[in-house]
Amino acid sequence: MAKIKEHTSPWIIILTHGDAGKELVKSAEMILGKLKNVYTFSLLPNMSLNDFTNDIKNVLEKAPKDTLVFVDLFGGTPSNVAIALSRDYDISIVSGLNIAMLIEADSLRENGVCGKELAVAVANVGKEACKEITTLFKNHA
Amino acid sequence: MADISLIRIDYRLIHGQVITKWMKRTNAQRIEVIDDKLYQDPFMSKIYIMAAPPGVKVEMLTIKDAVDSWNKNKMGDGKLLVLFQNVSNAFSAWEKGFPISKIQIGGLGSAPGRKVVYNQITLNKEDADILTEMEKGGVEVFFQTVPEDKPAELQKILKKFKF
Repeated sequence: MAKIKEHTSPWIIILTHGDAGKELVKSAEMILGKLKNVYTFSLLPNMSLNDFTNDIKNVLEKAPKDTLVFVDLFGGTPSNVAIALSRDYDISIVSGLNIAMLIEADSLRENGVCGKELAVAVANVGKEACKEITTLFKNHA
Repeated sequence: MADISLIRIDYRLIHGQVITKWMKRTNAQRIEVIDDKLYQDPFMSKIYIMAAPPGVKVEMLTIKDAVDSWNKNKMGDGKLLVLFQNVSNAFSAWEKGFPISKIQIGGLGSAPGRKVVYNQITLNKEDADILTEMEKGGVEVFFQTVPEDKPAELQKILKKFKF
């Protein structure tokens, strides 16, 4: 009997200043339940860049291809470290992490979306998630 | 003549604090990263060049280029923010003639042999000695991570932490 090839969902790695990523995952889990293969890395004050990078490398070494990397702030150290890692690892990077993007990323990867397609979709969801609600509500029929 | 608004030593070079706080405080239009090693690495250079805030130009220079540019035409016009990744690079540039009257130590990371002396800044004996030499040579050395921090003088730090 033919063995069905198991689709390996890409892992999600989150790099942030402080514990923002760690806490955001906890918040997302209030909505989604326990998330699988999501790893967070907190850049703490004084942390050596080598230590921060090596901790991430340890996970990337084990990850299947197409890891999706979220960073908080474009141009910040977590973002710069992620780009440096892209030289050696097959990753897609998206900045501006918010909870909507994380939720959508989990859903899309379970449905087979990966690589650049996943990153672009997730970045768009992130942007759409930012709404000026007061006016929206006021103008709603 | 370029107005060097700030000369900063920061192991993370262009990052959060620099983009959000120091650019606003100095109104610098250009960021000059002086680093021989980084200059040789176009991939890493590109990361920092891309990290610049909108409207700000980032330039990667070797120490020699920086000194030559200063000697030739005082690095052009406008306000500059100069970044060094570590103390020895700053010292090397200063020795070779790059003008440093004041230098801000903004961030130096942990490593074996280093201890935290102020906020997110670590020192070891080698750095402490180099900075002392620069100070003796007329450079004002102060420690400050973000503008809200009170700048701390080198001598006060060294009195507290023996190296």
